[in-house]
Amino acid sequence: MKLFFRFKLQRSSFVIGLLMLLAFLAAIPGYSQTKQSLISISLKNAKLTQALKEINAKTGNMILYKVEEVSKEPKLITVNLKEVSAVQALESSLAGTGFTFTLRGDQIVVHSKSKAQQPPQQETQLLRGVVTDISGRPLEGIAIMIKGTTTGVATDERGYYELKVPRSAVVLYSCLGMKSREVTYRGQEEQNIIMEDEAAEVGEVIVTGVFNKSRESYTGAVTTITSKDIQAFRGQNLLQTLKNIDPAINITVDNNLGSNPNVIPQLTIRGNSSLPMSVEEYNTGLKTNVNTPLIIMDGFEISLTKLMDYNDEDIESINILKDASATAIYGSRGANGVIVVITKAPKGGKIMINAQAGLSLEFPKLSSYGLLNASEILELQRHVGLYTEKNPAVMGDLIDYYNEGERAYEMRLKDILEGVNTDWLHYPVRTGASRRYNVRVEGGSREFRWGTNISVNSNAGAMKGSKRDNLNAGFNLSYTYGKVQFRNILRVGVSQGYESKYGSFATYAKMMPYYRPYNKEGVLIKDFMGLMEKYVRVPNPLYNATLDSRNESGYNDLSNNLSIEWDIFQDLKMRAQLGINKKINESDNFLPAEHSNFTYYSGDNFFRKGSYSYGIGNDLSYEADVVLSYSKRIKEKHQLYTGLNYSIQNTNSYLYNFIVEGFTKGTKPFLGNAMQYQQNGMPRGTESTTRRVGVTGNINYTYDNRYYGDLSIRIDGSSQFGSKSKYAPFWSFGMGWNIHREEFLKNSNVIDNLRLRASIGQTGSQQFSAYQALQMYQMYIGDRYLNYNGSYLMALGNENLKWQITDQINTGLEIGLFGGRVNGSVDYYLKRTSDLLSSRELPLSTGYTSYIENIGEVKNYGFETALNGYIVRNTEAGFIWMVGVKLAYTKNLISKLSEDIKKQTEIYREQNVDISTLFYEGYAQNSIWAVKSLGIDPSTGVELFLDREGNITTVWDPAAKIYCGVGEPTYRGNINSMLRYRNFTLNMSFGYYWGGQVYNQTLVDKVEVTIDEIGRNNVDRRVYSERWMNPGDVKFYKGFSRNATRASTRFVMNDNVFELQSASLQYRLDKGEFLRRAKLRALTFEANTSDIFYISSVKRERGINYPFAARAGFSITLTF
Amino acid sequence: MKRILLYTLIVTSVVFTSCNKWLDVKPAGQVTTPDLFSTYGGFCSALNGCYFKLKARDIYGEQLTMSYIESLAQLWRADSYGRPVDYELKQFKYDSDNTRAAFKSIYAGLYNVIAQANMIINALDTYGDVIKDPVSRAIIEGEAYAIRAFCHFDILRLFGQLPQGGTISVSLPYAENVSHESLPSYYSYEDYVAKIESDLNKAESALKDKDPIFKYTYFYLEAFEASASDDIVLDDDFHGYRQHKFNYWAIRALQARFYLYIGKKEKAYTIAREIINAKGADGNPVISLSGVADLNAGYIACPTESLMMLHVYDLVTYTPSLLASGSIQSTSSHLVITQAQLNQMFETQNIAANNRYRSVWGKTLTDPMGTIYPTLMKYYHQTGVYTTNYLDFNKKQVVPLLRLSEMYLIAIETTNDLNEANTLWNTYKLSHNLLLSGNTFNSLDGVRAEIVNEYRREFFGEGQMFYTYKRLNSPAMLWGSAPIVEENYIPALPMTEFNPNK
Repeated sequence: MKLFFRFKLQRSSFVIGLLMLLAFLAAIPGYSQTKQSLISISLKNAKLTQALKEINAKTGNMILYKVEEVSKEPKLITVNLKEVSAVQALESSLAGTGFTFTLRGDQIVVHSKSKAQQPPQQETQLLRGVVTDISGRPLEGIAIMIKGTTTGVATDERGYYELKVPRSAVVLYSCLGMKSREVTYRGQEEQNIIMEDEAAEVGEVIVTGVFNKSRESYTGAVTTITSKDIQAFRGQNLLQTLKNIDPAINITVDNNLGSNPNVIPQLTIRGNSSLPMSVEEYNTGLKTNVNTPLIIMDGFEISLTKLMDYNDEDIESINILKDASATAIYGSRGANGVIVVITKAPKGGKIMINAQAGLSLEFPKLSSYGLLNASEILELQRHVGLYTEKNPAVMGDLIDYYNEGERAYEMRLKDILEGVNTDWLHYPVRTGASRRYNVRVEGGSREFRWGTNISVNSNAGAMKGSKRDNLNAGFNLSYTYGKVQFRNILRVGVSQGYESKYGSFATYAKMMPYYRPYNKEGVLIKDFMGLMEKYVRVPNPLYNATLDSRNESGYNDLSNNLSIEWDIFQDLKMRAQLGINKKINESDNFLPAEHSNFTYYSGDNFFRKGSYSYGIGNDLSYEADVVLSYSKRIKEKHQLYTGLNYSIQNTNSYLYNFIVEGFTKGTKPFLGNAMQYQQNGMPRGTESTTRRVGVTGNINYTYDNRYYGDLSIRIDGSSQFGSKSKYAPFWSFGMGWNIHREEFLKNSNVIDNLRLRASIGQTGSQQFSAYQALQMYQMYIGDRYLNYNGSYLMALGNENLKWQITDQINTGLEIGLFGGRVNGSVDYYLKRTSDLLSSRELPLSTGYTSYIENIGEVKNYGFETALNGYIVRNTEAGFIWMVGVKLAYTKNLISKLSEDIKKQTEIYREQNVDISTLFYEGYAQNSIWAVKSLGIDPSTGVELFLDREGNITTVWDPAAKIYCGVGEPTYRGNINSMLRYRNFTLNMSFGYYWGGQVYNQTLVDKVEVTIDEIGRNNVDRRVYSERWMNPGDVKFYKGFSRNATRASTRFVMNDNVFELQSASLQYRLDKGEFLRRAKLRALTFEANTSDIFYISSVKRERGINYPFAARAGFSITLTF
Repeated sequence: MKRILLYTLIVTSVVFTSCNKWLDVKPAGQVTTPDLFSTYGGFCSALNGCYFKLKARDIYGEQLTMSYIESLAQLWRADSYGRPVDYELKQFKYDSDNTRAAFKSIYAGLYNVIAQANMIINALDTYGDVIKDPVSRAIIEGEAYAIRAFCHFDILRLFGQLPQGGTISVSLPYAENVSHESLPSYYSYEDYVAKIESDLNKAESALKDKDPIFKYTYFYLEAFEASASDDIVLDDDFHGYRQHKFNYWAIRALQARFYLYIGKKEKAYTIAREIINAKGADGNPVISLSGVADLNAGYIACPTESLMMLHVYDLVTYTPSLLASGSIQSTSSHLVITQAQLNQMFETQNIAANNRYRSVWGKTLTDPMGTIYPTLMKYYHQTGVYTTNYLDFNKKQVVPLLRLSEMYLIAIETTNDLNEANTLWNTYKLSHNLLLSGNTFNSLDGVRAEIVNEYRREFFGEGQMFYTYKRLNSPAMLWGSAPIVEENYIPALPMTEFNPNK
């Protein structure tokens, strides 16, 4: 009885679980395995119980029997059957025994022959239910049939059906374009069904943006993110959300920029495969986005900014293509990985309205700041002698005039006693309240479907006045006429970013707490007396914030994508797409006359006060492509897919910028109010046109669903490269093996999915300036010779310039265990980028210093692994807990450099620069170089260094810098947890990384500060407790001195972090009296938070120019 | 099925071949080389570009005329705080970062101009047919060769070995191509000199009889645009302003300077005399010493007698703070001399009359103690004065490169006839507002000794003095603290340089 019970639970839980969790689990590879009906069995003199157990194991528990009864059977069974049905196997096994069997739907009941056979219960009962799609919307016109009969009904507009069903029948739910479902009727009264789209089923089909491939035979490394994932792990913006889900996506954490909503982060997939053109450029922070992946939305390229600003509610799924096999179809653009975004398509049916409103709050996180209060800083200043010593620069009679140390000290002490202790950090920050609204309406018939959505998202940052507003609207039409389907998507996006008037947060962290921002009457004080010199004034940063300044930038864009799909005949399909995108950027930066920048404008310059910098740009791009695909199954075992794609793209953009000045006091921030153009200023502009054509061919062959191979070839032509190599080929080859389909695993109860794949290929990257390769003349601007103009040769062109080539190897293993309970995957990759574009030095006698050539090589290798499983999967009780762990390891190293870069590196190394990134072969691109420190000498309190020869010295020599680590974590990962109980879902995403180093600049800026610095800026409280004071002190920080601390290994620290990236709690109500009365189909409440806690091995101030923020939000979604 | 694939392939290949042109994208703010040289205007624009480059402060806009090159000749008072580069140059510290950087920018600047000229010279072979007018073509070809020779000659004068009496030999690159594939070859002194000579000859023969100066006078060619009432009309304004471009006589003057430098005195003499004697289109001397007229009119740089001068429209945006105005502190970024130095320089001269002393040197700049520091006024003119005279600026905003005065000095130095020397000297002195009496020489040696002093007085701030000392292998320089050794005359080439032939 025990066994019987167990298997019953399993069966039913499987069905219910499938219904309820389909949407969630669909993403997990290998879950949706269909049971093989054919089994092989070989037994010799086995007991019947053993035989039945064996058959059960291979058929997925199809057989019901009572163990006590069957175990009494004396006959030993010998069978040897190959590829037979369960029924056949059972017939052979039961032959000659006292048992027989009866079919009940898809179950087989084994019972004793002697027992009188019960006639099948033929009485009918009423079965009713609602058929919906994954998102819970009712489906109209679904055919519901009793299998093997012609009896059936169709669902009504509410998706509702009623059907008289005989006991133990199989009910078939089907509809063109959707996956059919079968359900065994067991007397239940209600049977709700969720049906999935056949083609667009997320996870089963991989949309690469060019071809749609079945996951079963896909050789590429890809991560699929569903709309549910996006909802569950939402971060500050979509890019953060992606990072929360897949650690292979790396977003560089910028400690300076914090949680500024207007900053577009640096995003990379699988490391940095390009080098910047020069060492100095890299160090001065002009890091170009040479490593940004290509982003494709519905087949068309979009920018990273656009992805960040896009309405994530409109996204159906995102595929992240990582290796050559996946990205070779993007040829010259694929080397940095590809993010393929698929937006929601209207599903047709009765008008459905989905409305969502959300509110979220951003709280500044200031706990990493440990600044001194007013009396402490005053005491420290006095302690280091700032108020007693005379300024040595001022001599003679003037000495008392300039040095008012003692008086200044007295004055401040008096203020402090009166209670002045200003907490400057709290002035520029706030709890930012962000709102988001999203409305989606869709409907139509099966042939003609439409959908429209509009979303408004106002993202307020943690600094006052800082926000980013996004408006996205889309109109989606699709029309099916016979074998042709037309689809058109029109999108409008408006984004505007506003910077805080309060300026840099760092200014506030530096302000002395003994200054009072307002006088006793509550009037703002414009500036304060410097340390002790009356004539040195410290401006009150709050003053500029009161002015009517403007610093904003934004863009409007409009795009239209039209696609036509034509099923030419059975296996041959064609799709043609045309996309046009127009974008207008604008930036405004206005400073009124009263701004402190203009305080010292006098005389002739008086009327130059106030300035307005205005920029306007325009991008126009069009892109067209045609895809022809042919797939054919030949003789059952051979599956062939071929695809051919032709694409063409043209992008044109320009940007103009100019500055005007002279806004008298009180003038409105309007360009026309300016008095003149900027003195000696002139309009500036940039322009670029890039063009690209490409042809891609793809062949995929699968043998017996077991072995498969994939070959892609792309030929790309681009205007960005030299006239001698306008075209370049890219390719990839991949192989895969579905081990779980092999004989020896076919019937395994443990492993239900095991797949091995490997790929090799070449891709390129195109993130360079448009006219890199051309030899060009530039006309002189703002200059003349007599009354002539002239032009000069800008640089030596290189007509041989080629694409950077990235070779990639990837091997991956996917495994699914215990009927989808546990899933795991591991991918190992090696990426080698050669022919890196880099400047090469020339003798000056050529007239130029360098030219651009293909030199240099960078390697990236690493692995990505994921494991997730159900800790609890009790679908009957509605209780599910799933945990997933992901880990990515990336190692980056420069394997070859041009002589020019090597020379630049040597020159840069010796420069008197504190902390620098140097490029050396064999080291990572963003390695940290600093002088080796031996700590603080306890007897003198000065730092000891190791010089180039290995001697101990007190002299900091920049040339003695050594390698001290990589400024980027080598291991990154996350832990995601999904806990569901009935209608509640709790999602949590923890992130962690380790293996990288960081140069702790805050310790230098705030703790190991010079005496003069203490006179100018507020400092960290560790200055008090942890600095060397007296001989014999063994301290980490040196004694007080006027010499600035130079970059040494002392401040290079291991950067290990564990944080809670996001947490959300969802309550979804999709049935019940309340909904019916409110005429709602579903109701979802969601609360989410992000960046709640953060533990780091590095103690430092976080968010220098803009604080980091934690988020908490709430949203409600109504579906009508 | 197969047919469809075949058609697709055919269509794609057709599309692909036609795409090549489509992929050739031309930027809007720039022009590709073939496009530029597809018109006559493009050639003119490229040639003008050479003059833009020549007037850059790295080279003739400042460092090869006013500052560094004159510091090498010990002419300026420069302290280590205010003018560290000049200070180190005066010490001949050729291995310091400062001087290396200075020489590098000069060297790079000159070769960049050469590259611009080479582009034109090479483009003439390929695209030259677009220039229909033979005069225009002569101008473009002649000036491009002249610019190439001029810059290479200054590379030789600055970085090369001593033209006579030296022990160190220096090979230098002579650039004739603009490419990262064929790097300029290095040549020994003799071969290098031959290269320059050949380019000068090409320039000369291109412009001979074709230069507009054979048809018009310098005055008219300068004035054709400014004075509408003049009956002179140039069909092509590119033919105008010959004094601001390497015209035929400038090339001849450059040849005279070149032959003098390499020691071919007869040739130098012949050419210098030819220029002095040359008659213009109106029958008058093609150019004459006009120091008096110029200086009285406020044209301190002697534009009227300039055979070639650069037009630097923004000259006074940087020269006052460099040379002529502001205030002098104990550490100063100004290049000045002391009153004593000025007096010493004009020791033998009647300073009450000499217009160089009176007009070229300003005497109003004082330090806080009231001490006067004479300032060079050649590159200074009053700004903010409203003038309708366009010509005025073409005479004030100039840096002279070749002047008739130099031709006189060359002729005086190279003649073997003492009488001729004295005659020329008197004419020369007259333009300096000096009385004729008591100014004659007794011997040719005396002539040559005084010529060196006259170069200093006449070309102060024009970058000729260091080369004069170098040409003469002079063991000492006025105001120099130590004896001059051969190494002092030969700064090292920038460290990035290498000889591709080796």
